[in-house]
Amino acid sequence: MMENGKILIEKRGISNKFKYKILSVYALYMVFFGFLMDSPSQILKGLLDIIMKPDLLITDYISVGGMGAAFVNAGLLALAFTFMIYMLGVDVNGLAVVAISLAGGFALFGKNIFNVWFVLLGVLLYCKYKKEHFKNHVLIGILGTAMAPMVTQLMFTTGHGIMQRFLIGAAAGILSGFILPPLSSYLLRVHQGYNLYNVGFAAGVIGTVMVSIFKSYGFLPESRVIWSTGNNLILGIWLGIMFFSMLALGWWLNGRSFKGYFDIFQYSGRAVTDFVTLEGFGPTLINMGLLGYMSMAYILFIKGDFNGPTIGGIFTVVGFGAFGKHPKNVWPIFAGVWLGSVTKVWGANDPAIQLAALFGTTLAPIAGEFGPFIGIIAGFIHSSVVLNVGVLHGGMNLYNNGFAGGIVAAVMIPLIEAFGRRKENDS
Amino acid sequence: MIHEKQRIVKIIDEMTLFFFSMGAKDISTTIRIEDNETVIMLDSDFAGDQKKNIEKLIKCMKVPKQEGMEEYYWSLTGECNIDTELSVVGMMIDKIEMEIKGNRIQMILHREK
Repeated sequence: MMENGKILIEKRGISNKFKYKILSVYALYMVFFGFLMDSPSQILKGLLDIIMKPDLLITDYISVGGMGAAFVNAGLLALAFTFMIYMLGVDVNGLAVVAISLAGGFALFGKNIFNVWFVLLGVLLYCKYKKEHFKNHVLIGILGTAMAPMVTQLMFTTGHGIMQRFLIGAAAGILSGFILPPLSSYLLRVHQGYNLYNVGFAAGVIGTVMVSIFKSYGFLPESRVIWSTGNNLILGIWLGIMFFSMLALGWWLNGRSFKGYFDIFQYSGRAVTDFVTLEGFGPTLINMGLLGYMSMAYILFIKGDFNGPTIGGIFTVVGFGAFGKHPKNVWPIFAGVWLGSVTKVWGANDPAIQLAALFGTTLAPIAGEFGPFIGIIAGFIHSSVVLNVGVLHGGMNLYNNGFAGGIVAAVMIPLIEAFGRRKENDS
Repeated sequence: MIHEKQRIVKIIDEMTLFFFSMGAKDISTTIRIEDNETVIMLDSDFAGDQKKNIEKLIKCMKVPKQEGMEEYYWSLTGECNIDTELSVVGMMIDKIEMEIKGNRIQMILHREK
């Protein structure tokens, strides 16, 4: 029994400075690696290619601009966003770690130092219009840059005059950013937080509506798969060092111990599960490092590739290691997607299926809440759904798995609640 | 802040669901709107040994106030009857007073404007 009497509850403080330094160091690690791989002139040329060429799903920037340019682009974008949220005074909580991780990861296949700003400008205009602080919406804005390829597509690939193309592309980006905050908040209720990439779900809905309008005017986005191979050794070493540093730093911050780390496993992972504020930065970093190794192991197990898109996927798993994912709720999703590849008409190492496994962990909270068997079913279903929804938004929403995950969760959760187990006191 | 009244209702929804999960059969809620804050007073009974649940509650109430998180996630509170969103309530509240008397728990939540 609890002891009687008053209980003192003091709000925990968030110390940000150190966390900002860590985020910046990882961003610089990407830039440094880029300059190690290519010369500055090659990087400059590659960056121009990355900015001006279409980047609909799936476009691997390593193929488009070279390894150096892809990593410099990713590091610079992560650094720019880190600096922006630092200047705005945003607390480094789990969602901030997610936003920066995804910025770095997706800047290897779709986001670049040019196309993201229009969506953010839209979010800023929304804040001005509603008289709200940009600080409170900036993380959603950063995540909302999933729609950045739409800007590139309209600016650089349509057959109008340059001014007209620029205006159309900018307007589409700004508009999608402007409507994102209220829409993404509302759509949370559809899947009750069991789909972790909720902005992806919202971006998928926005993208579907916008592409439907574009198609009405004869604009048909072409699907593409640009996928680099043959870099597993160098990228594996690079990733291995990064995840080892996370484990080591987490261990050190956690009082040179792994004690208490396993407390993270008690959470289902359903949004909002912010490990940074609930369990601390040390255990969170340990979790992120372990998830990184686990994701690498899966890709190697299925004989997949380390490249822009899969590193983006790995960074997404790792980033959400601060906000809901842990090895216990992630493995059933991997298993479900892999089992699907055994019985369905595709292989586990087909590009889209490699991504389905990594990004499919958006449904990890289902495994965390209802157990591994239901989690495996979620992964199994997800791998089919994700291959069929991309056509709706024409690949313009980079978080295609978030869109698919939202649909899967919206179907599964009511059914589980209706026919599945019920808690004793939920009668 | 938009939807301010809805947010207060959602906080109460979430807390009520949590008390139900502890076997509550007698819950009362009072809301007092003041010039610079809203005060929510909750009083509930609970059944059996709820040490684990109350420790979880305390942990979540210690989560710092975070307006950015609230802006995005407040609508999730009070929605799910399987899991809780207590940490979001913690993010929406500035100050908490809590007292346990036998099998009753009293909480006063202060939310500044």
